[in-house]
Amino acid sequence: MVRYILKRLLLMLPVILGVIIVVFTLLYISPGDAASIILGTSYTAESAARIRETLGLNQPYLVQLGKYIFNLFRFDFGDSWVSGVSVSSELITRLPRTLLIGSLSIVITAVFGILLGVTAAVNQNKWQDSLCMVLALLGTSLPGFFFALLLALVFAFTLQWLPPYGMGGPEYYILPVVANALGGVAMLARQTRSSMLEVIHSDFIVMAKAKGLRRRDIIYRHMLPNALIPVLTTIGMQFAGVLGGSIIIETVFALPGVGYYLVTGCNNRDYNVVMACTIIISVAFSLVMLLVDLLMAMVDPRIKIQFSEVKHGRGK
Amino acid sequence: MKKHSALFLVLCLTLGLCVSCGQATSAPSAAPSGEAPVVETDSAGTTLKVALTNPFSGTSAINISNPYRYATFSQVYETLIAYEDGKYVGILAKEWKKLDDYTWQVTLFDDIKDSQGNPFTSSDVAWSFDGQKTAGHVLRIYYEFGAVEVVDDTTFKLTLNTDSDGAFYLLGVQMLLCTQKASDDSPDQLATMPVGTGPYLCTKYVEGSSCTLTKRSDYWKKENLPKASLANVDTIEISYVPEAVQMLGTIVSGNVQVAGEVDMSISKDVDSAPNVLTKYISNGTYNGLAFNMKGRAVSDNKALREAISYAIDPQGLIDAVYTGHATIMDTYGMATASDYNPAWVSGISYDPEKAKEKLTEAGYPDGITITLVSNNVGEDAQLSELIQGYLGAAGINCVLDYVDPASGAARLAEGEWDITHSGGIGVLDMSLFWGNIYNKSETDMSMYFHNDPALYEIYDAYKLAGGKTAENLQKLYEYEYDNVTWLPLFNKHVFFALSGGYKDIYLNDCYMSLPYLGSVTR
Repeated sequence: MVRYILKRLLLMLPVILGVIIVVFTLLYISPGDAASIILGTSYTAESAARIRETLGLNQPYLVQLGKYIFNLFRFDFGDSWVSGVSVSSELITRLPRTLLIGSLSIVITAVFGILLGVTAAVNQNKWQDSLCMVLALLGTSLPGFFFALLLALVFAFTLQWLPPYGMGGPEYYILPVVANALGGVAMLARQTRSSMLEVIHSDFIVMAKAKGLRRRDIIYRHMLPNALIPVLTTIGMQFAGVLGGSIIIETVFALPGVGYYLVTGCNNRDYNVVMACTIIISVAFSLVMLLVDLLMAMVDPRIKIQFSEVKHGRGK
Repeated sequence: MKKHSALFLVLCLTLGLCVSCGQATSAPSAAPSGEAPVVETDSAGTTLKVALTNPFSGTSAINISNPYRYATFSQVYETLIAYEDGKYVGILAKEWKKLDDYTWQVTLFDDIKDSQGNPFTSSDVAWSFDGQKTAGHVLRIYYEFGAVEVVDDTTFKLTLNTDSDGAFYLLGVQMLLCTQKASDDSPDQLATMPVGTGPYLCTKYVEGSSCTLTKRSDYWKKENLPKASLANVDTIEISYVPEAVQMLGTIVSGNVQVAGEVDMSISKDVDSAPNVLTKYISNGTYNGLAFNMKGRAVSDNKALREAISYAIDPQGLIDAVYTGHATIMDTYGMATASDYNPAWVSGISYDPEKAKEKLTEAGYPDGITITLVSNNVGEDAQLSELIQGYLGAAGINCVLDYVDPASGAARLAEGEWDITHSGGIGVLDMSLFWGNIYNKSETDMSMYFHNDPALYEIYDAYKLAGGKTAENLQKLYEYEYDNVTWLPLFNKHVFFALSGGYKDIYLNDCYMSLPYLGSVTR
């Protein structure tokens, strides 16, 4: 298992390198000029040339890319073109906030999504099933920003239970996390229901029922673990959605995380910021997908056996 | 066992995240090495809650081109002078006088100290000006700055590249200053926590989210306080609310007492909210359209330029984009300029029938296709679509060439366009206005390719030291009036909302009507 983890971590390196190259290249070829951004209204050809020289932007593409990658190994994303503040130090401050929102959103997504899905599946074609699926449909249909504003209007401005925006104690995270989790809960509920329904008619479930096992044991010890494989994959994919969603959620709730930083960077054409945020989000997503694969190995004995066969030289 | 290890790891990760994600804020400012400042405040004092629309990056006084940063820190840092009730008053500067066409002598108050106790002297002014000029991404006005010569601790000579008095006053009211010592002592040159000489001290700053300013008990200025130095509340809590619906909710629900730079799209809702006082003020900017004066259909065809000018309805643009909150600019001049002449004849006004006549006169009875280069985002994009519609109604097919703002200057320099948005801020005298339009670039033409020798004979005479006479100014005005190389459209307003019994707030009339938050009065 350790060997498998190391192997997966090594495989992540080319993925991350690929992301860096793609992001760098896209921004390199995209229209726009750093000198023009930095100089603003005081743009002249001479001062622009001076800025390009200082930033090394007049060097060949490969040299610029090489330098950028070299600096990344030292966690140096350069300075913001607009504010002059180190992008790395900003990310160190902001990343935990985004990861916290993302992690809590995923926890909520997993708990409520699976609960709704299981409830719907074991009560197939009953009112509980219809209710869960209507809720899931609503969750899938409502755009994240709309739901976020709705939550703010109801719970912050009307009921005044929670703060509408900003950063502070745990209460500031409740609305962003709930808003961010909604879409995921809905998707996961539908996936869980579908997976559970496949398992529910299996022979081993019929056998378990025939043996007189308790309903709860059948659902949670026999059905759910077998239905969990596609659900785990969905959770992993949801994390990508949650990280992407943080761009909207953080902007609506004025929460200064990586998503908000990315939006500000895009608005200011601050490409150092845009590149850094995109790379960080990609790396975070790669790590989460690795975690999901490991969890799947723990849940599914067949995958575990594959590892041990690889370990003992019997597998391919 | 492996399951337990994995669960343990996940728990550790979650706990780690929770611990690291508390109220992460920058270190307070009073202590250079991140120590908490000693702030003497009245715990029962007044707190003003403020919502500002736009967040910004960085807190340094240098490179302060972002006006929203200015709105937050205009009372943490200070300027040399302020403009109040129609006259200039000293903030850091006790007195100032013009020595010759380009040189001003300024005397500072002699007991100025920042919140860390560092004395503020002429050397700090020189350091701030030099830093501002080399910082990049600054307002055009900073390029009128030549040099600061330190005479002694409280006296310095400021040399400008122009004899415009307005340039001196604009630099004086816009440029935030700080001590070099505070910047040197800061681990990041004040990039994440400001230290200034102003009446407020920044005690908490979370970039993109909030800022808390606390009244200084040791503020150096004790009496005869100008409005810009007023600290009528003990604490100012600023939240940055970029989303318009959130802003509306927070104003209407009374969460804040002051909301500044509010998006015009919610102005009608805020106007109708009970117990909320709204203020619409010109923000000192101007917007117009510039014509490409080299090698295009519009360049040598005055009638075509007139046709375009008659075809566009400024009021329609104002109503559609600014919900009516802007003033039509009906002359080639800014009423805020000290040498503005109210007797100037109005320029062209909206008349679609006359536009068609002029189009025929221009030799295009069946219409013509022109190109409008515009930013692809924000107000410029909205205005462009409307202008396209107005021109279309007059028989002029307008192709919109949207460019990313990052490419705007380069696209204009290519010269493949007919009209473009043209605007500016801070016109304290007309030389700043004409300078924005006519100043030559390295191509020996203006950015709009003005290259008429007759124009530059008038302009150069006006630009020379001693040339800013009423007569020369009138000649420039008449040139523009006769040749229509620039189309004035409107002056935008900004929008403030006050509640909680507050009735007024002092705004910087010389710099986009940005607020001095501590000056609020009930």
